[in-house]
Amino acid sequence: MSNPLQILLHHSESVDPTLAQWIRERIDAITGVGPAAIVVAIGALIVVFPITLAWIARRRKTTE
Amino acid sequence: MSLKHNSEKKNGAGVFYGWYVIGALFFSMFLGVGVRQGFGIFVETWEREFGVSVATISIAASVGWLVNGVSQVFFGRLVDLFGGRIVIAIGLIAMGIGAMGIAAVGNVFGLIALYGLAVSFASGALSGGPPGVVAVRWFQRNRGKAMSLLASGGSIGGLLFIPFLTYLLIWTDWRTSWLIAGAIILVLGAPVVWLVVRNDPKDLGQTPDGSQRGSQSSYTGPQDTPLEAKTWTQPFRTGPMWQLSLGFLVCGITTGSISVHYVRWAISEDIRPETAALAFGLLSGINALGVITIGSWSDKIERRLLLGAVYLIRGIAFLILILLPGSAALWGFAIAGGASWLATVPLTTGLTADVYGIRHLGTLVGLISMAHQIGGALAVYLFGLVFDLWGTYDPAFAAGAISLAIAGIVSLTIREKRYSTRYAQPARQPAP
Repeated sequence: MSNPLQILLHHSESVDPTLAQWIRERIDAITGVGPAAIVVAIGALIVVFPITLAWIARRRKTTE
Repeated sequence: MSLKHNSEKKNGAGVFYGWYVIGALFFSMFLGVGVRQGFGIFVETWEREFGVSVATISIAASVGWLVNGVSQVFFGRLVDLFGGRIVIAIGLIAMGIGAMGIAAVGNVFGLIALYGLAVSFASGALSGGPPGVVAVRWFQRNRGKAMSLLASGGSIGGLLFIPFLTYLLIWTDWRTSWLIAGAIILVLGAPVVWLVVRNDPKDLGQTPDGSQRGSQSSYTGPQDTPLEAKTWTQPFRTGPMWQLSLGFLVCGITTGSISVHYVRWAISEDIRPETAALAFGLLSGINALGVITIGSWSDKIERRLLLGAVYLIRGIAFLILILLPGSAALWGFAIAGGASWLATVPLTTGLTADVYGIRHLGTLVGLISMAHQIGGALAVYLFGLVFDLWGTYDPAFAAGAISLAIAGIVSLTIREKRYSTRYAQPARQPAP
């Protein structure tokens, strides 16, 4: 029997390395841009969403 | 305009504030799940950096799984005592500091301490329980829809955060990547929860769903159902708690095992790992759509019917793995499994709230979630053991299908109309 910890290699709480590699290859093929551009694009989404949400929610509360 | 719609709008201009609360909680789940799933991206890098085997690094992940399961009970109790807003905000601060701390670790022991213990423990405050408890206070009529949007935050977190971390690692290095991930949680996650989330609609002078008191469609206030929990131990003397826990244990068994063994099974069927990964990606995408659709349906149909159907559909997905040839099984499972993957979370939490009320909901959902984590951890090991002994996953898949059939039947037999607050008659006003 193999080492049980080896079995836990592809932990469900952690992305499968094969899937991560596949996602990377697809993004590379579709976008054709460098890592910095992708980091900035996704990073912008991650930053803009909560700031916009907090701004709208605060505005909503102050107008009531 | 209908009376119902009109009453929702009158409660305040524009969108009901509860949806902003869901937005903020969605973001906290997005960060919590995204960062935890991102662990897998760094495994090879750490293997080289620390000079240890992948199995040694995986200790941090497996410890993290169990610690997260236990911490959900702890945070659930805290939410019952102090409310979700402070607990989730502190959880985000702790997770952010822990993630930034990972940037400084010099060996695998530091990784186990910071990821396996600190980050995984703190993420218990962002897992389904605590945000779910806040959500059920804000929604009664649209509870299923709200809970499913919340749960989809985890799916979308995985879909967006994993590419983000992958390219951040390529662009910079692993230490900078964790520093940035931690900073995002600390600077964006915690403040947005603190600024937007309120524990209860009463805090803003509102009612659940934004209904007006006294209107035809209004929320009638918390009602005592026959099983309303006065203490957190009381539900364990009743049937639905065990029915829901059994179902969620089976959910953990069948999702945990597939997450780990799906690609391995495909390879054993001579399917290319890339194709298996693509199918697993499809499963994750369908999962986000499935959870929102089923969650919305659950506001119109008895939740137990949908919960039972979800387990039975997943059972069919497991049978597909045994009965169909390799490639057909791969794609068939991705579609049937994906549609039923995450939908159990809003249905189980919603049903727990409907039956036992919200007073001890955090603790109860935490305990049910712990059953899920324990089931998942056990199944990951046992599925591997079966494959090592017999050279095939078929006996394990058969066991999974049988356990799902049992979970489906048990869920269908929950007496929702008798116990759920959704079907309870409003309490009569005493005569003047």
